[in-house]
Amino acid sequence: MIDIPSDMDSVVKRWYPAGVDLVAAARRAEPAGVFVTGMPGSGVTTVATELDAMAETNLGAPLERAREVDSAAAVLFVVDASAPLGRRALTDLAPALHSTTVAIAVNKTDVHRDWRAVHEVIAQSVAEHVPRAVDVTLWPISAKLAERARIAIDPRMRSALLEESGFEDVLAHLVRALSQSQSLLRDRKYNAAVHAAAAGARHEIVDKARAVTSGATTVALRSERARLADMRDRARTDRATALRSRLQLTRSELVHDLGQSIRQFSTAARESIDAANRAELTHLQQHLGEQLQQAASKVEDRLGDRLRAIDADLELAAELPAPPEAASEQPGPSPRRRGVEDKMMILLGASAGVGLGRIAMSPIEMVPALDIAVVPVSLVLGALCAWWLVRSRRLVADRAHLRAWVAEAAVSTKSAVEQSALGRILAAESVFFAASHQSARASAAAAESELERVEAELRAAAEQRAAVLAACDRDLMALERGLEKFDLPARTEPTGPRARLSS
Amino acid sequence: MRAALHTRHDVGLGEVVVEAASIDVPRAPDPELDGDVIVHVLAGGVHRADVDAVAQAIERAAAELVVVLAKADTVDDPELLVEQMSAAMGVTVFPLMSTIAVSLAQGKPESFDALRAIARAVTAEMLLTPDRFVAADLPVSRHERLELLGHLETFGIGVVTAALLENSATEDAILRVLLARRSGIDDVAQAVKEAVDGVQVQRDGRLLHRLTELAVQNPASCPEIEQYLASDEAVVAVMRAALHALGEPETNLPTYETVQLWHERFRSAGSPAQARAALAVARGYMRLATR
Repeated sequence: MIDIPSDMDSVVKRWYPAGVDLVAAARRAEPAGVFVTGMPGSGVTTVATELDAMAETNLGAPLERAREVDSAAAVLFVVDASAPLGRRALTDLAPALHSTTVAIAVNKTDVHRDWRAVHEVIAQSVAEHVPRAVDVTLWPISAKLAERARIAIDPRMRSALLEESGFEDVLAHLVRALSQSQSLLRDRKYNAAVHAAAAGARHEIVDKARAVTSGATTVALRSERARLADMRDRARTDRATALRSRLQLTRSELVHDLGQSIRQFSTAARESIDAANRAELTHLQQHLGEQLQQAASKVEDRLGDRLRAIDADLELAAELPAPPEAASEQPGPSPRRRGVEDKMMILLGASAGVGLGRIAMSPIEMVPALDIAVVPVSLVLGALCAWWLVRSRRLVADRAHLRAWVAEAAVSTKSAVEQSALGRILAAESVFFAASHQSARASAAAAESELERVEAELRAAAEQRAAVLAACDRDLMALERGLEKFDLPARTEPTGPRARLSS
Repeated sequence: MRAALHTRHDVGLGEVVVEAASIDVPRAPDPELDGDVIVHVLAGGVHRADVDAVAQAIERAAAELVVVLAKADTVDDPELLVEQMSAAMGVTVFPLMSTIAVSLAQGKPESFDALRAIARAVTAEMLLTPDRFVAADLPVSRHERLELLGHLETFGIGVVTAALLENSATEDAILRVLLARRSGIDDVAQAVKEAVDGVQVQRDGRLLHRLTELAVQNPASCPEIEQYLASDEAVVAVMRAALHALGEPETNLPTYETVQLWHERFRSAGSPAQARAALAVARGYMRLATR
């Protein structure tokens, strides 16, 4: 029994520890008996029964049976003569063919006319797909004929059927196989176990090499490198673009916000003026001035909020310029000067009053006793009418005066606030861009640092891959060198009526 | 199998039978079983490869499956064996003596005169193996015996000689009927025909469903489609597709009671799909009943 070279032993222990147990078990094996198995539906049970019956008749006792291939001195594998061996059957049979004497019994030759062709195909398949088979022979048999022979009364018929059944040849072959020396049987199993252990180790090594070269381990790193490079290249432009866009949006929102506030103020002021009486009108100007100031302050506050939101969203941490002081209150309206319209209104009022007085007093003039009172009463009525008209005219004029002031104040305030806010945005823009540039530089530097780390890891992975592959190559070579000691000389394929594959 | 199916024209396969490569062949990939009807042929026993192939075909559910035990004439008790195989595979396995079936379909042997001449001389021992029959002391030439074996196998020769022993005047036609019955081709052909019919019914159902969708999408432009969908032919085709989907057999001579029964099933259906199918069946039976 050849000892496993130390380097091969080391490789098997590292890559396929189960193989060590296999080899140890094979070294201690004491093969004995026949293990009978076969394909489903091929008549394994009938073949085993007939074989036992014939062994009892010819040898005085049935053949010793083994419970499994590993402990068997020979294997009888029964196949049906209707079809060749399939891929899976060959795969299942290969371990037995590598380690043990195997007799493949092609059963049911009595009913399958083409059994010779099937026999030939099976022989070729085994020779082609299991080249390391240690001792395999094919035996065409018919369990049915053997059974008929067993129950036949006529000795000549029995003899003829027995010969046609092929069982005597199989039995003789199995007896020869069982009588082989223990050392030979053990050596075969040992060699097969060594090959199986080496194959298991080779499989693990190849799997490992495939896993290493597949790049699956570095996929995450390569993806991270691409992401970081992209982030480094795009961080600055993306940030600048976002900032520009947000500032532009803030500008347009400011204009819209300011226009909206001023329009609301103007509408409210107009309604207040129209509804105010003479006494209220004197205080209304001050109230409207305060409202205008509040509207302007709200616009300024909202602008401040928007600028702080940009700062927070883009993570600029910039020092925003302080908001401007509240705009000075608009000066009140100048005193309204009396014009020629007022004087005309007095004259027209007096004339209309006198005329009305005269009309009102015309019935009284019919009474001579009251004639003396007509003139004074007419004059009094004319005076009252003139007074009322002048007062009304003054109220209308005061309202128009205040409306004009409100319009001027609104326009003036809007202009002032707009100018102030745009200036504030401009100041914020310069601060933001400075902060953005600084932040982009810091971000790019961080990405560059991360990139260097990832590149270093990728280089390390490549070096490790090369090292692992080299180790795999070394281990595979050790396995190959070790197996050379166990490779048996190539077997010849004898020809003959039983189509023996090996001697 | 391919030859056996081709020789049975009533199966309705035409020229579309394709013999796929064998499965489980060493160093060869298994074929892709993408036919509408898959006929899986077993030889000898049920192997793991057979179980896997049949399981895959069932899993696909896109194909009808027929499993056949070939060379059933080589089995002592084919009925018991196919019962065991059917239990192992989960589908019905049909026994088939394909050599006999093909020979009969091709009109072979042309005459049973040779067997008539030797019927009384043939013994059970002579038919134990083909070699024994060829080597037996019989008054027919070796060539004729080989031809008989090629057409009938030892099983068929045994069946014919047994029939001739019972009645030597049995005509060739009766012997052919007897062999055909024993070969199992009728059951296999019927199973394949049902599978093909099932596929055609499903195709008709899918086509009509698509036509209905098109008619709904384009109501103004497809009066011809509407007209066809309302025809007896289309309504009955939809009914057959619905019956196939429900796994129900078709009633040969439906009456109004049959229609009522399906209307009742429509009303008590557990799901919308079942309700639609039951309604389609009721409509189809109504057309058939009023013809």
